[in-house]
Amino acid sequence: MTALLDVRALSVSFGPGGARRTIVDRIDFSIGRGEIVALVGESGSGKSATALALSRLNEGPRCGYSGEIRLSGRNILALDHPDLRRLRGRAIATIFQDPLSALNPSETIAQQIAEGMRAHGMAGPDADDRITRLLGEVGIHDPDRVTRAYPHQISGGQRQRVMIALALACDPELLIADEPTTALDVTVQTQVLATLYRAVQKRGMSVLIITHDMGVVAGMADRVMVMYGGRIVESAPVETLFALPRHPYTRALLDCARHVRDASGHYATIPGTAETAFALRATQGCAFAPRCRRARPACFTHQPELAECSDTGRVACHFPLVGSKIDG
Amino acid sequence: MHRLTPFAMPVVLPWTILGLYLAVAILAPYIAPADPLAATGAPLSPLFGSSGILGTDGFGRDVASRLIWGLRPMLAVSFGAVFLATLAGGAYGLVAGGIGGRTDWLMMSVVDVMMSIPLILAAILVMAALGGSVINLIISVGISQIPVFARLARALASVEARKEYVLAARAVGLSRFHVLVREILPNIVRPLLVQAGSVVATAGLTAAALSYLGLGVRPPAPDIGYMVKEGQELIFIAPGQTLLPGLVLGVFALTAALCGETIGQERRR
Amino acid sequence: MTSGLLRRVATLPFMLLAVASLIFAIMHALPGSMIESLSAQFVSDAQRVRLMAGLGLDQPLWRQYLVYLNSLAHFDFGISAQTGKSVATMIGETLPVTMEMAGASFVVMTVCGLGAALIAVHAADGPADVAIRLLSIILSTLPWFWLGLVLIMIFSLWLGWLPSFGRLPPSIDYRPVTNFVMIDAVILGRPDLIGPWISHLVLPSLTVGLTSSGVVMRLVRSEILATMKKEFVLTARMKGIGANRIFLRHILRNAAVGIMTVLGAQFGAMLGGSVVAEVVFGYPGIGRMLVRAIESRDYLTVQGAGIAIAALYILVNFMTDLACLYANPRLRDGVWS
Repeated sequence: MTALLDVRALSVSFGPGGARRTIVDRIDFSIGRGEIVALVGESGSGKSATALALSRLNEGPRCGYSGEIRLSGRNILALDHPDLRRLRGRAIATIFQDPLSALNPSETIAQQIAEGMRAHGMAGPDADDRITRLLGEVGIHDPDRVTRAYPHQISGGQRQRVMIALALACDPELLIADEPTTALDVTVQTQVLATLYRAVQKRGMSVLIITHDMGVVAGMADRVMVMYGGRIVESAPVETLFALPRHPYTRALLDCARHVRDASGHYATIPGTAETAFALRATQGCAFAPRCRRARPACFTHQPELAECSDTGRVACHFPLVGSKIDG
Repeated sequence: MHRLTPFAMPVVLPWTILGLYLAVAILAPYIAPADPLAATGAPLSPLFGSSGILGTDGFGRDVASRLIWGLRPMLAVSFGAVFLATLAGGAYGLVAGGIGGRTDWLMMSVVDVMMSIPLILAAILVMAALGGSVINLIISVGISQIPVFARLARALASVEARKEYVLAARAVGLSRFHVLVREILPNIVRPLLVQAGSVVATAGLTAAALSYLGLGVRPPAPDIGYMVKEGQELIFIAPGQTLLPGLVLGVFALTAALCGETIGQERRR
Repeated sequence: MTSGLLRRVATLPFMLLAVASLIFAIMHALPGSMIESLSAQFVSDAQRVRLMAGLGLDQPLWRQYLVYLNSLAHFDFGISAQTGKSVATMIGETLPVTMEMAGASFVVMTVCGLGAALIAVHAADGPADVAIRLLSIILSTLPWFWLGLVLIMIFSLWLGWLPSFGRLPPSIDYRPVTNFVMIDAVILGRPDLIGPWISHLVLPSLTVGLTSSGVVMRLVRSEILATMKKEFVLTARMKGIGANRIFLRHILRNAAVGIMTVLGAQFGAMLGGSVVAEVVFGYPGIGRMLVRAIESRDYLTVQGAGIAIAALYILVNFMTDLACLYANPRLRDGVWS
């Protein structure tokens, strides 16, 4: 299976000279055709910046990229602006977290979906029908009304379904979903996820789903990448990762998600916040070391590289966990 | 703020100029070289001549002295009107927003009506009804600014009134007056002061416009706005007669606006 | 559309009634009311009584109020003491003049204000942006009646390019039909009116328009910058839309309500400014009529002019609101968040 997307040594940084902050730090990964990959991590870990970087959408003072992002062999970071525009929405489309602010409040749903189709010469005479059908497919029961509606006139769940339709409209090869259900009610979350899953399965689309919700990961993804402090610290097939996390941070994340209690009966938490990761980046060690219970002196002086740790998994840790079964 | 870096300069400069204006106005009797009402030389003596550094006006009165004395009504009205508007508009809005409900609706409808008259027209009509004097200028310019403050105070107060601490204060049975003045007021004062800082210039310009129209300070008392008008009649022979008072007014309005700006910035920090 | 629109239309008559009442209150109820300050100095007691009776001022206040409202409803503003003409006729002659000037000033204000704001947005935080921000403060604090005089000095006295006084040169024979020169030039087939009319209009509208544009620059700039940061702009970029189309369809389109609100609100300031500018330039509009009436204590003309200016202002605000309703679908549904 040749990879659809191949990312090599990608860095994203912002700010002027001395105050420059690297948000994403030399990450490597790839996504195969039809593969659904989840990218998990705390807020501030650089996962959203990675998602935006794939179609060069990051905004900010003096935002800069380095490395390579190859989509079917073409390096996105080397594209000129017209080519980049042709790629956006057509080859890579993104679903954003908060559909209310991500939709233009003064245009109807149909206008907003059609605009993207027109930009890529895909509108055609039957565009209206296709939009209606698409909305039906993403689970909107009265697509005829919704096409004419403005974003404020439909419910939050419907808005996210519209956002999904908008992203699917030009049949992209890679769909990026940036926390697609975080802004929704818990009851609606599962339904919307199911809709999304069905739609991408039907099209055989590759998906990168950004989330901090392990439930979403378990329900959708083939493979998981865990991000911490701007780096990917572990990558493995979803079953392997859940059964046998190798990186202490992954383990901690899973413990939190499963409400594991420690010996004294407290719920598992990860001490500190991801912000401390950036504060300590000046040292050359592992970004997680300051919060890691297993950290040893070497962890503070040498940064671990992401390396194969089994047939399918890779981990960036000097002292990965071995065979530690997770028990509730 | 302590260092006089290039960035601090724009902050220090307008406050210094504003201070100078105030100082000159307060010390007018000691600074002014001549009686602003008496003819001290030939009409329209030139600048830097024997009769006064800025020459004389069409009646032979010393221009420098008239400008110095003219600062007094200008500053009194600018600050007085804003003070009046902040106090009255702030109290009105505080009551409306703090009480809420039908009272709020009724009180703010009145403000909507006041807002639907151009500010300067309201000031003109009030001036026409009251007659010209410094106090009446303060009243009329102040009245024209009240709606702005009332709306702001109301918006702020109604947000505060819904917060937990106010509900808590009411729950323990504190009186309505106490809640308004002791609980809500301290939390809306700062934005009101920022607003006050930003309209001093507007008030000064409105007052000068009224005086220019002949509705302000009664001549022959020196007044900047009226000096512009007197100068206009001499525009063909002595352009300085209208340029000078206009500059004095314009610089005041600009510095007042810049100072107002710095009040707002400090709040943001 | 309907709910927001209907609610707005329904408030219009109440607004007009309320403002008419407010002006009545200013004229009658304030201490040292209009009529007293009018007649205190120059009139004998007997004349004063007759004057009061003539204006119906010997009646109780509530009665005067009802009479006042009744005559307003018939567009009857009484007879001017100064000219002997009906105040309604005088308003009909002067209000169009003011509307012309306010319209021209509005064009100046919009072109300069929006133009500068767009430049500032594209050069955000660069030297041009800083310069425009400074310019906007200076413009908004310039005493506009004084700026008028400076313009007269430069363009009329020194350069001799533009006239400084009046609306049309006295040498031109102009018998108004509608009192709008533009319309009359068409009706009467008099294209020769337009040139002199415009040359007289340039300085007053520059004076009022430029000084009002300062606020417009500043507010429109921050409105557009705020809209640019909205997430739907990111969505549009994600869709592969070109930068120009994003700016027009997504950014400007959504900033439009804010921009129109700014322009509408500034129109009020501008209308007030043109009252004064009319005096500076001897422009025969309603502002000059108002000021002259105050000088000559022509009570009914003052009242009529005040009502006319306020009514014009209310109508402009009303139209601004309609434009906002049209531009923003959420306002149409009565959603204000």
